[in-house]
Amino acid sequence: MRKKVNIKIIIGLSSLCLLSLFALLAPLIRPYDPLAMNLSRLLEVPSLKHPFGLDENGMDLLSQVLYGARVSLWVAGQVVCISLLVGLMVGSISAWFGSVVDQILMRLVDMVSAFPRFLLALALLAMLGTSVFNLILALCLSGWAGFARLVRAEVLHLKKEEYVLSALSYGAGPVRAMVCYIWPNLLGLLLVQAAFSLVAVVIAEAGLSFLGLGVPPDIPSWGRLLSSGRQVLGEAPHLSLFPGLALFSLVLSFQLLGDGLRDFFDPTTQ
Amino acid sequence: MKTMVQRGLLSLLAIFTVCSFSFFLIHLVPGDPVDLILGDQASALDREKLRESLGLDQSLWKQYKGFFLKLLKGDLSFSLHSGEPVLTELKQALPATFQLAFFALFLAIMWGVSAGIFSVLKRGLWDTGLSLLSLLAMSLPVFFLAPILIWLFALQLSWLPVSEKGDSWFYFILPAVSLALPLGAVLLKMSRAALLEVIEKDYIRTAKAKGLSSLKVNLKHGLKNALVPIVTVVGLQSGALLTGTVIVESIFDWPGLGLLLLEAIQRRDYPLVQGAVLLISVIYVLVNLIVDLIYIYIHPKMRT
Repeated sequence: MRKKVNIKIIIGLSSLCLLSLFALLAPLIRPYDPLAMNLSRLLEVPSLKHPFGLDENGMDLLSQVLYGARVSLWVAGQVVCISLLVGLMVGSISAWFGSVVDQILMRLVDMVSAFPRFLLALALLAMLGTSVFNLILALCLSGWAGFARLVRAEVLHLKKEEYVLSALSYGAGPVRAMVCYIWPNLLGLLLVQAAFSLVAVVIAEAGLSFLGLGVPPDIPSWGRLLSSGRQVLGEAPHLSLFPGLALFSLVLSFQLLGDGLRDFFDPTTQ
Repeated sequence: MKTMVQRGLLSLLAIFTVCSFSFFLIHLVPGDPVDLILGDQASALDREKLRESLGLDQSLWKQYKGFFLKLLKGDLSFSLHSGEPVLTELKQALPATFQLAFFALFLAIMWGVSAGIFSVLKRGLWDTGLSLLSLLAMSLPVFFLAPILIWLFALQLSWLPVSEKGDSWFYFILPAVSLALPLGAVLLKMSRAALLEVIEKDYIRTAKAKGLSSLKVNLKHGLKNALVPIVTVVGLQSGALLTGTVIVESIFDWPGLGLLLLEAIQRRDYPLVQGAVLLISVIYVLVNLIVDLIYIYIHPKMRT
């Protein structure tokens, strides 16, 4: 079956590009300083001058939502990249060497998987304190194990393929066999897993910030905006609506991208 | 039998990990936990007392051993805030979380699996519509969904009460639906995929060729065999459900484990934090063990 770019990938990717563009250009296109307070106009409803309205400190909500995209994408991007690389290394080493190395590394993976991911990150942040660095660390610690398990299973199967065996018999070392012959075959699998991982990490980051444990309060983030919106839901529902919609659209684009990529790389699942 | 024993050992390792992790939690606090709990103004005597009661004056190894010895007796030391044993506090909070989680799981299975079956039977427009709905519901984080539901059903329409657990089951509806909607969406997707795969199989075709009605074949033979992946997904989602309750409890002021944990974090009540993390993780490990055992039971190939 020929691989065909499907509608899910197109929608997912274009909305992701749009959101990334907003995040990137936030300092240029923001209408107001996101942290400038206007104490005389608290919780004002959306108007032409303030399309998303004002929050409980009289800060412009649109500017804050724009900046919120930055921290969400920055944290999620880093967490997934690091988790993927660590998972790729651990999984490959584990599958290639087998026996004791495999046993040790896989028991390590089991230990990390003993926790619900979100709880592990929450507990670590509760103790370490909130900062963007700690947030990334906590989410990575709970994120790499899934990639490692996936890569290990796939490498175990690929290392017995004839083209790998023949490369080895021609004198290619294990590193060359891995990098040139095995890893390229993991690309599709890893991209799909990365997209779904991004869904989980974006939600986890926003959830932790919602609980006051993620992004520090001086950085605008969707989770924190939703949390302060919850306090004034009756008077100012727009405070929950706009950050929520922004978060929803980012999660949805990663979800679409993941679904679309899976159909792309494995047309039989459709 | 061998698989079951292996699975049991794996759970033991997991429980050991979880216990060790919750022990080390307090040592992750940057600086001196005693300073953080008492602040700068505390007297030297108070500091020593607290340090002793937390066991921080002993060597790490001794603390670790002591922690496990106490744990075996069911002693999780005392909450700093209320002075009650941590175990008592956890016991009081557990039923509220269980009620919420079970009700949410029940709702999720009801809507998710039945919508999955429906969309396989009907195909066409219904199928597309339900798939789209599940995609949207899966992308709705619970801390956005819950405010929408509260705003609509409690504040605008005044049909349902908002927060704090009352005696009436009305109080269950909003928190449980907030949890069940995204969870059911995952179940919808999985049960649909599982059923679709099963009805392509030869034995379904044989049953149909024998003249059994299509609906009966789909439901009886199809569903039975699709059960294995569905049970697996329910198990995999139990972690999401447990952590989802933490957020939902904080939104609805639901007096369960999650709220207890979050309050303990805010008050720097470290022993209570350790206890709550330990308990939630152990529940997670046990749920996964049960799901795997069910899996082995209904899937005879795995029983060897």
